[in-house]
Amino acid sequence: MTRAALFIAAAAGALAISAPAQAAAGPTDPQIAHIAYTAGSIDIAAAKQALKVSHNATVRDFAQQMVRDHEAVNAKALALVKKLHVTPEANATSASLSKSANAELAKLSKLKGAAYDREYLNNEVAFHKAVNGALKSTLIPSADNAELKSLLETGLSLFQEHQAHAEQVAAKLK
Amino acid sequence: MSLLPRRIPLFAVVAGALLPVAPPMPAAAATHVVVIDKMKYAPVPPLKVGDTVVFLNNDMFRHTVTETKNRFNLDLMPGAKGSLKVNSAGKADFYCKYHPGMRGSMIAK
Ligand SMILES: [Cu+2]
Repeated sequence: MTRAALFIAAAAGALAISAPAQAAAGPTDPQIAHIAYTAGSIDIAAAKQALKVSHNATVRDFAQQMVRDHEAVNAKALALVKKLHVTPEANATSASLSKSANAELAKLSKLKGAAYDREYLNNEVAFHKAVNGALKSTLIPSADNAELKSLLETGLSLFQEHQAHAEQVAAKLK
Repeated sequence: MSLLPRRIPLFAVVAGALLPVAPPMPAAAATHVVVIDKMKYAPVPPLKVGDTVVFLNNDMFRHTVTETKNRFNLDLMPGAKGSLKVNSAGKADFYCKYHPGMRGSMIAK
């Protein structure tokens, strides 16, 4: 089990994230890079599925924005790790994120129409909230490299905006 | 300096022109560059009627500069810039359509 295993655990549908037991047990920069990139990729995959399934213009606009914004951050993250000669390191947190995301995609793939839209948006709210919590409590404080920290901070602003945006769209669907 | 939305719009989007092409303005007219980066608008300096404000999107994300009453709207891809010309005195509040928590304002005298 890697050091990053402690603070994100998949729990029934939503992600439960808690702070690490000890500050010293925080993830390393290569692990943080992997977690952040994975979180972005998960949201891109969810949005691409929504663009295939949803016919709701508001939902599609939201999904398009998720693809655009998260692809932009992930491109920056890749450029940064290359520049820093850091190899993102797979870890239990990323694995747990991916596992929950795949389960959610499978669940969504059985839905259509308004039911799909609602589930997609509700999950977007929960997902962005969970990632915001992890960024704030663990990933940003644990990051050593200043450029990585700065990118994560921009990522936090972005995820907070997306969470608020997802909440607005979700409220409209009810 | 009331903000009543009457007659002429407070700010007009300068079509086409991307860089300060000096328009026939009073000598004091200035061009101010306001950078957007890391999900934030830089503060807009105090403006005078006749000034031009260039918003430069240095961020990795597409952003807009949208007036809250929709009197102007700039939609800026990463690296893009767009200009507004100050036509009358007053205050304008703006936000980003994509990231509505991004907010800014400008005051012209
Ligand atoms: Cu924006």
